[in-house]
Amino acid sequence: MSDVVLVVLNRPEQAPFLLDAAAELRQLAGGGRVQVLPLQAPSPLLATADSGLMDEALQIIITEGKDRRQALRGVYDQWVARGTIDGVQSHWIDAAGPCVTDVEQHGRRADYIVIGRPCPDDDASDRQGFRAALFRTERPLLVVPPGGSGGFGRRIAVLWRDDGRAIKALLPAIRLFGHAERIDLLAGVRPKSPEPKLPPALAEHGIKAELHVLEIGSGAFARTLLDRATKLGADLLVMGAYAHNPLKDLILGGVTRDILAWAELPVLMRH
Amino acid sequence: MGVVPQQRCVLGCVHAPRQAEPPPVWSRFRHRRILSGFETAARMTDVILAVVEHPEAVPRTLAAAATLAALVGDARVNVIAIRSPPEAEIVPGEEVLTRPHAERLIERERARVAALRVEFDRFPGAEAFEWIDVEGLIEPVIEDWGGRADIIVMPLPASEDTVADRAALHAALFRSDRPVLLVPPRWHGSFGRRVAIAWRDDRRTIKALIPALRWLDKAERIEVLAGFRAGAVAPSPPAILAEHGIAASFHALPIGEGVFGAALLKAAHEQGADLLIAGAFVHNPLRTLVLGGVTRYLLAHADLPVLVRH
Repeated sequence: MSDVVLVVLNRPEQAPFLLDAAAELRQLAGGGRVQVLPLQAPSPLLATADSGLMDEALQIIITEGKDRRQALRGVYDQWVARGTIDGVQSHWIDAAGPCVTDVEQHGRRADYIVIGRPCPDDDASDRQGFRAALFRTERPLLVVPPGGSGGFGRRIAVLWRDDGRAIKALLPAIRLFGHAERIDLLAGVRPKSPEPKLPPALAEHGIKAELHVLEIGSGAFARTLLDRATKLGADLLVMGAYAHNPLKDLILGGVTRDILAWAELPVLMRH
Repeated sequence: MGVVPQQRCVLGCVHAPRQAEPPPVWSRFRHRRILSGFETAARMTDVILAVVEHPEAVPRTLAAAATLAALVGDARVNVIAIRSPPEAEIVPGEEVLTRPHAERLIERERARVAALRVEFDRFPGAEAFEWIDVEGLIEPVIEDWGGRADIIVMPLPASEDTVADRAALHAALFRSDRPVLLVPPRWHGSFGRRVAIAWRDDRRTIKALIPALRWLDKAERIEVLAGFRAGAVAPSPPAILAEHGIAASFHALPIGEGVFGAALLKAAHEQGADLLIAGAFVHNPLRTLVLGGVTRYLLAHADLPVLVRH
């Protein structure tokens, strides 16, 4: 058995960082194979329905889509040729379907998914691809910041909530803790609420961790959390992704949204 | 977990202590675990939660947990016995919980758990397991303990199952979000050498399969059984196995007039399978969770261990 790491590529300039992060993750998981999924450009049909584009504009979109695919393929081929990480078995997926289906299909049978942090100028297919990876695959997602991740997995910070769901988000990540020198649990508390405790499930799984209590004040909690993670020298943040679910329209919770906007370190999250 | 010097069987007879037996293979994992001085902050062990309810089902449940622990590698086995609180045993509004009645109920549960403990202590290798005795309602306790384990092992209830058996199964399948290994009555032996997979290309089956992929490569043979209706596109071998580097043979089973669950079990036996992996499907997920036809058939008729997940 070898683990499967699915890496979802969209922006050519980010692609090398994502491929490196996938190789690093594969190393932490103890070997495995990297599957590379280039995200489709937005569907021209959708674009015409939205804005009533003329034929010429349609042609531009189709060409841009092809160009992006070619550029991504070029980056991938270079990465393979560079061969910096020994023996990484990788496979380029020639996906043809709509991006949501592709991400869901390939994502749910992978062990981990690597994807770039969403950016404000992402196009529709990038956003759909990210949402599909987070909400429709039920797999842990490694979100890589724009500047790349460097090495990670030595010093791990875990955002902890004592609500019974956090542990489910944490369990699949535990397999990556084998190289950690230090594991810190960061728990937010509101004034006057009971002190959080280290969850017994960690000790049962053979994990030693230190608990840090952060006060939830009036400012953005994600900021407090990221500052503390930086101070602790964390190279990876592990968290559950929380969503409100009014009528199936999944809207991310505040902390998750802020972290996805600000994190400069890789974040392993699970919905 | 000390071994008691004298043992009482369920009937209350005192038995002489057992002669020292060679340590079973899985007991070495405990020694690995208690070594101190880790180089790293983590030394991952999988956690297996074995749920015990009836004394006669304890040996097969523990044997299955031990087999699984050996397959997984470094695993900790938590064996949990759940005592029902007296308030849960009466019909509110119709019965009044008097103090003597409450004490009788507490005593009854205490005796039941003591009988479970006797069976636990008799099991060779039980000293490597953790014994957990909690008072609480079955569903939340299984949700809590199961949710933080990697896999749950429990017996498939025999023909006359109780309300508690069904509550336990329901909680494990629908509230823990974990894979559940169900051990049928009269099963003994081992599993994991010849594994059958009831394949359907959907998320339940994949969710059941993904955690098992870690130890499936220890199997000698893996048989994928996929049903298809006449006229439909013939199913193809699942990509997930090849991607994970696991070799398997593929069998397409026609879905005909008969009960498909029966065809699945028959095919699994023809292939000499000792374990069946399947997704657990439900009808009407909006209001109450009722198991789908094939899943229900499998749980009612399986005579080999079944690994399911919802």
